[in-house]
Amino acid sequence: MKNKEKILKYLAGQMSKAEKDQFENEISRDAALEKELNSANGLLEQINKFSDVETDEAYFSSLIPEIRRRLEKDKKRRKVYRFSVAFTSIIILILAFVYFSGNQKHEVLLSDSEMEKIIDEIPQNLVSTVLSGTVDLRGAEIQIDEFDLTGEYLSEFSESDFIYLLNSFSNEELNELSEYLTETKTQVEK
Amino acid sequence: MPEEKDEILVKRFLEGDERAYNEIVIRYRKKIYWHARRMLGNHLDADDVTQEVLIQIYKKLKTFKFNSSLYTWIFKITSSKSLNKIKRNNIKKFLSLDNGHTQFLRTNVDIVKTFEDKEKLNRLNEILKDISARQKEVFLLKQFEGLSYKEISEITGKSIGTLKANYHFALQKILEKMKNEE
Repeated sequence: MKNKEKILKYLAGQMSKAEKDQFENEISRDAALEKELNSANGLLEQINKFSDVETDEAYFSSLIPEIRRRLEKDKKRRKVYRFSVAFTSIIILILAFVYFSGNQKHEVLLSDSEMEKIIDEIPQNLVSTVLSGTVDLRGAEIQIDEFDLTGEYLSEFSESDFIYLLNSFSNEELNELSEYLTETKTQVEK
Repeated sequence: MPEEKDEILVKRFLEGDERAYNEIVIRYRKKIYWHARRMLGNHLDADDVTQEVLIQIYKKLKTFKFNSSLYTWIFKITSSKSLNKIKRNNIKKFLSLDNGHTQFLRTNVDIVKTFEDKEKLNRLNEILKDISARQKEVFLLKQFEGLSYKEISEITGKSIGTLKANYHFALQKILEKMKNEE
């Protein structure tokens, strides 16, 4: 085995105990090998010095306030997001009535006026909270500034998007929404 | 006053003492930053990863069970987020989504004060440039953090044999490059 390969194995800790003892004996007898090993160790020491640099300590001091600010913002956003998700889920389930339920897929089950009635039934505080907000759908922010009763807005969601969003709801949220929609559907049918 | 042990800090945090989290940040912020910085090669990305790691620590600390040391756990998060950042950057580059402005910021925004120090870090980036992200991860954890293969194995989830091979190849490339530059 060449010296270079032996040194790499030694430094990487790939030698057995016996190999290591043998190598260390060899070093004490072979000046060239010892020199090569020292040279490799010297280069490694040099690498460590590359990170020995002076930095702006203000950056590290600013991390705690910055993280606290982000955590606080995140908490607020999560609240809005939960509302948004709830609202979006209502939209999804309405759309599910329109497009995916019934005997034939994509059969429109509700008329525009029926849709309008369902939307009117959505609690107003929920609507006002989210209508000016955004929904994060797979990282792409969708602005909810209007609700298109013709379903054009809703048709931007693909079936897999619905599944993705629905999967992200807790059981509690799903039960709540399902109850709300069942109730609304019954009212519409009357 | 002697430093409180990590276990005590975590316990205090779980009991609702927010100051304990600040103390954890103070204890680990530089280690997190420098590992990310060496992995990613610039301040902008290292800052992103550092903040993500600190946020994750805050959110996940309640699930930390001391099956490993806090130090190992934090490095696991840092390493994983750094590798993800490298992957995302590579995808952005591939799709030409990495715009000139971001590249400008990567090159020009820094917390390193002097030109000489910037040169040292550029030299380190140059030396590490040709080794794979996985090899770099092992090399940095061993070389700069002085971690054992067992500890690196806990962080990376790789076997010790694989880690030794990664370190061997990283070392080979790095030493060759440095010798050629001499």
